Amino acid sequence: MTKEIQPSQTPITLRFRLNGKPVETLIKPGDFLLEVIRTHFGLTAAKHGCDIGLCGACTMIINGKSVKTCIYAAEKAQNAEVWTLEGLSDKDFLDPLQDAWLRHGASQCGYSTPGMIMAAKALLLKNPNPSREEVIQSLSGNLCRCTGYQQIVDAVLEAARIMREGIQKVPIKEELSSVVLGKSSFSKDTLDKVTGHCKFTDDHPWEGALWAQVARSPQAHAWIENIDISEARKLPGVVAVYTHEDIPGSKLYGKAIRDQSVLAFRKVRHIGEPVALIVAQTRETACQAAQLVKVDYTPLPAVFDCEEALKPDSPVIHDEPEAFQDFVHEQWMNPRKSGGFPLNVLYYFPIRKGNLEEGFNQSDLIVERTYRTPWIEHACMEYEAAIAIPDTEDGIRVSAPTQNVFLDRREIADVLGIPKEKVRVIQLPMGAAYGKREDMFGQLQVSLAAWLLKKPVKMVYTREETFAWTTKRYPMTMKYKTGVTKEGKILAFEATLLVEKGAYASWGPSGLRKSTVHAAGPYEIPHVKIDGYSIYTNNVPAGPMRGFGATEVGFAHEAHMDNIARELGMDPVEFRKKNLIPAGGKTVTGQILNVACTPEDTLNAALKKLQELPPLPEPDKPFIKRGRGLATMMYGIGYGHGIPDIGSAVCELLPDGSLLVKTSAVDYGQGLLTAFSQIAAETTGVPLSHVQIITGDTQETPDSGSSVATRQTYVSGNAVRIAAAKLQEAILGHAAKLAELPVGELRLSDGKITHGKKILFTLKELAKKAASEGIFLKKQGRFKAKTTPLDTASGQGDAYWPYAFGTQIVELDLDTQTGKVTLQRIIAAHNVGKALNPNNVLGQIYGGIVQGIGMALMEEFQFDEGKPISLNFDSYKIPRTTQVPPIEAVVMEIPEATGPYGAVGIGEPSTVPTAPAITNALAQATGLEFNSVPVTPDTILKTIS
Amino acid sequence: MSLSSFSYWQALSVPDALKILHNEQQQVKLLAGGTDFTVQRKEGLWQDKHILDIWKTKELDYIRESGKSIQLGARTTMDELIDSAVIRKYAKPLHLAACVFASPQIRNRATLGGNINNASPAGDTLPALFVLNAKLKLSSAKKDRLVPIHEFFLGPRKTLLQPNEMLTEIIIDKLDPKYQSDFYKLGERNAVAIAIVNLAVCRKIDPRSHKVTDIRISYGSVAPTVIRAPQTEQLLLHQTLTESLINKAAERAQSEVSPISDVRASADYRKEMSASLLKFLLKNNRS
Ligand SMILES: Cc1cc2nc3c(=O)[nH]c(=O)nc-3n(C[C@H](O)[C@H](O)[C@H](O)COP(=O)(O)OP(=O)(O)OC[C@H]3O[C@@H](n4cnc5c(N)ncnc54)[C@H](O)[C@@H]3O)c2cc1C
Ligand code: FES
Repeated sequence: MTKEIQPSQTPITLRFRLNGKPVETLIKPGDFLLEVIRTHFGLTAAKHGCDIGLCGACTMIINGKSVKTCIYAAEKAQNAEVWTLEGLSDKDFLDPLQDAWLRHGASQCGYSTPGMIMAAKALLLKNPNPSREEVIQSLSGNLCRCTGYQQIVDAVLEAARIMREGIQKVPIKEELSSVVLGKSSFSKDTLDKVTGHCKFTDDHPWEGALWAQVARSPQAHAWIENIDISEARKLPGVVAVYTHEDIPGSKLYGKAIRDQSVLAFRKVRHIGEPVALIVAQTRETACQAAQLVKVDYTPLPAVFDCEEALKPDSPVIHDEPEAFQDFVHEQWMNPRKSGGFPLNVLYYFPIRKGNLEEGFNQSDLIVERTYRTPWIEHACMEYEAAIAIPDTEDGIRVSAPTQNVFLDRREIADVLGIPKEKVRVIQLPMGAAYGKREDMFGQLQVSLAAWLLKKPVKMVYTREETFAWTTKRYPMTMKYKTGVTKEGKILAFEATLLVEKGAYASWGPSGLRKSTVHAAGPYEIPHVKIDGYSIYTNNVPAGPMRGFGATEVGFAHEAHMDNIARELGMDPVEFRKKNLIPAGGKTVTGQILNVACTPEDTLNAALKKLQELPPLPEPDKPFIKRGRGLATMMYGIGYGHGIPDIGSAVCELLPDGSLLVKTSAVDYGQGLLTAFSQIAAETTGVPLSHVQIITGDTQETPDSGSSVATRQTYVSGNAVRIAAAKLQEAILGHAAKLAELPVGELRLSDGKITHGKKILFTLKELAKKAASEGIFLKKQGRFKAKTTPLDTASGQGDAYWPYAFGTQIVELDLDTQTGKVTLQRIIAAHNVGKALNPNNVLGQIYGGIVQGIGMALMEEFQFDEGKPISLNFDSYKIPRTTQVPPIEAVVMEIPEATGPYGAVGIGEPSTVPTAPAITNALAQATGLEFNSVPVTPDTILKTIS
Repeated sequence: MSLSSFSYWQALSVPDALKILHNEQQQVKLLAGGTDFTVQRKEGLWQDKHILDIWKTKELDYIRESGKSIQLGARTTMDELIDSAVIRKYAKPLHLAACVFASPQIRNRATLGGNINNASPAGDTLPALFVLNAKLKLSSAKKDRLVPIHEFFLGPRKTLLQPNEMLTEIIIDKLDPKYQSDFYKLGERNAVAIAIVNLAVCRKIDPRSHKVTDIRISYGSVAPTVIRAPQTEQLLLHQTLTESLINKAAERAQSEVSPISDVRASADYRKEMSASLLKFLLKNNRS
């Protein structure tokens, strides 16, 4: 072998084979392969997800082995054979893995899909016949926050089987039927996700865009005396540095309450608050300049704990007299206006029913406990990113991950001081949301910079910035007191809920109302007093996350039910059955539940499944304890509380016979695009593969509200159904006229208009005729969900409509030597009304459960005096493939009369019962109580000993 | 996100690598699989160093067996350790450590030499190497020297390695079939987790007297470097492993560790686990 030394100076030529073709490019020593492949070759399937080797989003196959390319020096690829996901398929054929991914619904937001498929591919190259356990182990280096992994593992096993039969390529098939409801179909966007062609915000090159970066406050609470940007401005490569003085419009923003500054003025209220905005030619320069912004602060005492913040001598965080005058909805209770509240209370919501004192007097047993849930990070796999591009005509176009384009538009327009119409917000595919993207991160800053400079400006956070400076699930302290008779009937319930909001409101009021209404759970209780407080502190702002207040109280009410049952000496199932709200029964707000599926139906379904399944083998070690726990839940869908809850959609027959559906409702992986396409196809009779869909564009799509509160399947799904039904009527009407037949005798299905057995027209023919005659076949559908305001003094009224119910059972093993919990099996029974797309429904159930596992066993975002310290997936752990047990889903289809084809949502409900079912199982295994999460091995051992 | 400019050498042979180390001295940092180095460089370390990549130095990639020992090239990866029948047969703790190491994408790049030289107190192969009495061959252009692994580490990320040296070979004892040996990592198995506590044990028991004739215990993550537990070993040596002796040993082990609290676990938990895991392995309760 020739002994050779290759000293190389900047730049060096890298020659290698990329997806089977020889390529070369110039790189700088120290470049990482991931960036080289993404930027030099435009192959963006492989993603940044952590940049330190923890998440697998960047996985490629190099010389036959899977490699995390975010930490792979590009030079190492000299002469190597590199494959990315794009190389596995062409326009007609898919790799069996990609095909299996589609058929198993293994992709949701799609961000981690490319890395996951490549890791699976590497496994199958090495081992064509892996066991389920081997697949799970092989994918343990790849994180996915949406799917819960089950369908991924199924897909890999099936692809392996198909490949062993000698099939290496699968043709891409189109769905030519319109009868698709209840089928696990997929729309075009899902195909893009498995082929690596789905472009997320940072996957676009954004030619010529400048980089924005914010300078952040190191202080948790301080007066700003002076901001000096002169040094930052002088740095070569810096284009502009802005402070609040440069903001042409409103300096404050907030989708629910305008209390947050775009760039801080007067005061900072949390560490990391944006103080100045730097725009530069490169990211490095922008970051460097951010360090040069000099701010003089006068520190103020800060408060990082809810209970401290309520004390009379606590520092006041929002002390300006005009503080929170700007409530978006007048009917929301404003504590400042009503007075008598500690000044850090952002919002208060009470519920009063019956006569509490009397209830307690009649009770035989009173059980009091305090429950706690922590800060939890959404851990969307995609980093926060935003781009703003000035339009030719005096307007601006903005894209960023968001759950509501119209609210983003309103905020951006107000900050820029321009009419809303001049701002166009377009949602691009996004790496999930789970509530995080109801808040805004980079949008306002890039819009401001682009508007002032008249140049495109982008901002992309790092994983550390994403974890540090974005909202998280708010921590809650829940004090519960329940009075029961010795027969097990709950008579009285009193609760105080303390929600920590951090420094700004985000969606504080709606979250608090959801918590308060759901605090007692799905139980009928005559005498009730609940007080909910949303409280400012000097931590990073907290915001909505999956379950939005119902998840946190869900943990409390279900842990509480088991604690009461234990004190009563009663079986927890029997105890629940005595108290679950029956059909026609009343919630704590006095709302009568006229439901087809009761909470008890879901409980029975879960128990039935448990009986049907073979029992688990007994643990074979004396120090392993088996536990079984159960939790049930309710979840009110929609905005509720009288807030207008409207879905809107347009369906249009295009001249080529395809159907265009438009609605602003955004899909962040829940499968809305597929669900809407399926509803539209089924309702009109257009084949599914001929349905195109545009969502999330303030110019092109009608406002259908936020993708929150599990409302879009129900609200916007109904709007699509209505628009589609109207369109079908119009199409058939036109056909009847042309064919001179009575409209009642025509049918439209699978893209054909028929009269008896005879095909009169294909849709293509009809559409062409209509277009040539200048007839537009286009209809709008609107759906208004039922919503009524509650009485502000008693909280009585119909809070939400409809409600979803579910029950989960967890079986687990506890290693009493190490405190380690191994989940054995989870049974989940949820009523979804109608499973419009069974794969997507299962995906929502599995994904929700796995987030619940994280909440129960490992997730807690940590701060040190307001400073975020859980900054990547090493210090903030989320479940991996190896930590997820088999999940047995019981999908109940008891139709909701007002839902589209009977459907209600499932997005949030699935996450609510998991954590308490796990802690209840631990309690059952040990005879002890677990009243806060997460229960780590450390805390379990402490509790046991 | 590229790093500031520096030179990058790829060595295809050991003498060439040593020549560069000799000439450049302080300026050069070795790069093997890069799974530690690149992450640390991203965090701002080693910015002033040139890089000498030894990944393609094939002559450092071997597992050889001779007499009572096994020689491993420093560039051997975790995957190669897992696949090696020799390691599985004669060095079970090392095999087990490689099996629970990180994720597949890391295992096929992470090298034994890198794990040793990264000198993390949590490095998974280290307790295994400690109980296998590993000796490290440190080579420079002028000479080679052999250092027993327990002398190599000075503290977290601090070792005896000189700037002109590199680790070329690791020599371990072959455990004859009379040894029982084990490795346990507390943390999520195979899931990219840094160990909360890791522990390797090997012992030989006289079949007739049932007395312990050799015992070696090594802990990771419970002190500034990986450690042996000499007092605990002494307590067990020449004794019969009764339940009460094992409990006593576990207690003694607790006094030999000095863990800290961090985001992964509290010091108390680590201490308690040091005892529980030892009991667990000594009682052979392993599944
Ligand atoms: C996602 C992830 C998960 C991980 N999980 C684990 C885990 O479970 N357990 C664990 O123990 N570690 C883990 N690590 C750490 C790391 O993978 C290991 O320490 C690995 O063995 C390092 O090997 P390497 O070849 O990649 O080293 P490199 O990063 O190339 O080098 C590491 C250090 O050793 C030096 N070095 C390398 N080779 C030599 C040599 N021959 N002579 C002298 N110095 C040398 C380098 O200069 C550098 O300082 C993980 C890392 C990542 C990124
Ligand atoms: S592992 Fe490479 S980006 Fe996360």
